[in-house]
Amino acid sequence: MGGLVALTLFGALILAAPIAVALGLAAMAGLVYMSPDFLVLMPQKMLSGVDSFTLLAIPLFILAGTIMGRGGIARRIVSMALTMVGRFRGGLGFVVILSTMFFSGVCGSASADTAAVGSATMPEMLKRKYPRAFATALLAASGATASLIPPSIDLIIIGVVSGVSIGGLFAAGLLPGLFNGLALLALCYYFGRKLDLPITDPMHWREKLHVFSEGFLALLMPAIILGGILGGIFTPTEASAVAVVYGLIVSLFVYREIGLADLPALLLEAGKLTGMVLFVLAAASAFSFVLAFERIPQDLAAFIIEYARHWMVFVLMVNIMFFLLGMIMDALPAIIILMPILVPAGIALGMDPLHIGIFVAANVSISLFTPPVGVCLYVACGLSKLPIEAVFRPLLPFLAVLLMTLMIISYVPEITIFFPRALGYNIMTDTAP
Amino acid sequence: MASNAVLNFVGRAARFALEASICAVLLALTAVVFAQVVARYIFESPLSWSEEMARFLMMWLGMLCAAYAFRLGSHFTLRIVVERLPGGLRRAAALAMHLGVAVFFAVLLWFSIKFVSSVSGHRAPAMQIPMEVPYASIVVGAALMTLEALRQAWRAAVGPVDTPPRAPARPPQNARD
Repeated sequence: MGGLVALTLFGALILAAPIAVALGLAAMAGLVYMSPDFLVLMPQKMLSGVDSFTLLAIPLFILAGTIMGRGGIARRIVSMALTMVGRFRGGLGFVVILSTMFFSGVCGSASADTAAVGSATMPEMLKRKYPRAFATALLAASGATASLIPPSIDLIIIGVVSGVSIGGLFAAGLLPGLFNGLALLALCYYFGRKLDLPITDPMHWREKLHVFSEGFLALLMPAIILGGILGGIFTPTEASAVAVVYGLIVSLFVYREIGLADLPALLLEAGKLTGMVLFVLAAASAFSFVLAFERIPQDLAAFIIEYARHWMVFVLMVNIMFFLLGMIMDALPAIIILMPILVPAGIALGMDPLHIGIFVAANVSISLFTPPVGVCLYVACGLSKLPIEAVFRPLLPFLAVLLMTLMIISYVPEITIFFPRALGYNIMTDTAP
Repeated sequence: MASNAVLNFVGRAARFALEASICAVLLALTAVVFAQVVARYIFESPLSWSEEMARFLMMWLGMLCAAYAFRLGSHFTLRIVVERLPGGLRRAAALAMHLGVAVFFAVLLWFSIKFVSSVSGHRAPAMQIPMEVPYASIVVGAALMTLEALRQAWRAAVGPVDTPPRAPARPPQNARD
């Protein structure tokens, strides 16, 4: 049966069927092979794949990000960053990095983050004669990297498909996310000198005060969301609904940058991304049912454990696999299919599940800006009107630095585990490396 | 041709209905989850039905949005192989793919109907509504996607050879199709 399922899956994938449909067809093939009567399990398993209160956080965080991106919150975050670091050489680059990190503290989607911050900063960078390809690479890399900072759709999915605490993953993602941000800032400092990037005009303190008083409501947002989740006040799902309502109130009634008439477009845009993610989750749920029937995940995990033997080898294997996979497919379907196999294997090798989740998420964040299928790269190129080929070379230093931090995050679990432990997420203390 | 005009009208109406439902479900979802937070922290009386209702809305959202994304052609896809095929082969591959997709949705539709009729009589524990209400979502979703898959298969059969290359993601200002 395994052969039939694999043949159907890879056949459909190669012919460029939607990945969700390829998974569904493979699941159908497996069910028919067992007994055609089982096909009625197909709709049941697909529905149970999306029937989860936790998963609700995905559409709502996507929606919150869309609203806040267009409703003026992202723009105010950018203005505040500008008053803080604009006077450094290459300051606008710092602004991009800080803003994507800060905005990703309220928005779960890396592409929405890149688009929101990029549409406020790209015109400014081009006006100040930043090299177009460099500006594009910088935006793509920082938007993608910020996806480690909670709340993050990748982390929610990793939590749901592998049964790891989402609050714990959010806490675990924070320090590695900041670490990546610092590495990018250092790189940007270097390029500020090397390319002799301009300094922005000085600002009067009254103007600064105005920017901050206007941006206060935007600053409050991540505090509510992250504080609420990490402090155990509300679940990630509840936090996502609070984020939507807060974003709507601030954008519609305080900043008044969007009106009720703009809402349908925002809702549908969030709906599109939601559909892409949930459909894969639904189909993958039927697919994993078929695999589990044949104990394929257990066999694969046993094979991985047998082959890797030590967690350090395992981490290297997984890093290489995701790097290669990231070149041919989007990362989200990859984690939905692979995490249920990788997490048990990693735990058996003595790793903390939070650490497994985060180093995979760090891999995902790299694949978000690497060609040919990095969604942040496409968003950034759309904003700067460059073909993606033009950005390959300027991307290399960013890729090199982020691969380095990936290795550090992979091999120093304390960076990941320290903060969630301090908060009391102690699930695996005894077996952690 | 009159039949074409009718088809166009039906297509536009269906599209409007789909978009309006997605907006309504997404807003309702926000409202339900937000109400749950408010009820617990402000009125200190947790709602018994909110979680169940949110989960049911989620099933509808998932299926409707999947159909919407399918219509826009934005589902995750692996194009690396077909992009490198010569024209004739590419057309054959596209046809085979569209037929396979149509078969998938048609079979899914058939068994979704069977599945939904098999749960008749069951009621949701908290809200006491028939379980057909949430489960009908997959019937609607599969039906919409079967029609769309057939339309795409037809266009692949009679249309120009080329499958469009992966479109660069656009910034949200003009992302609405």
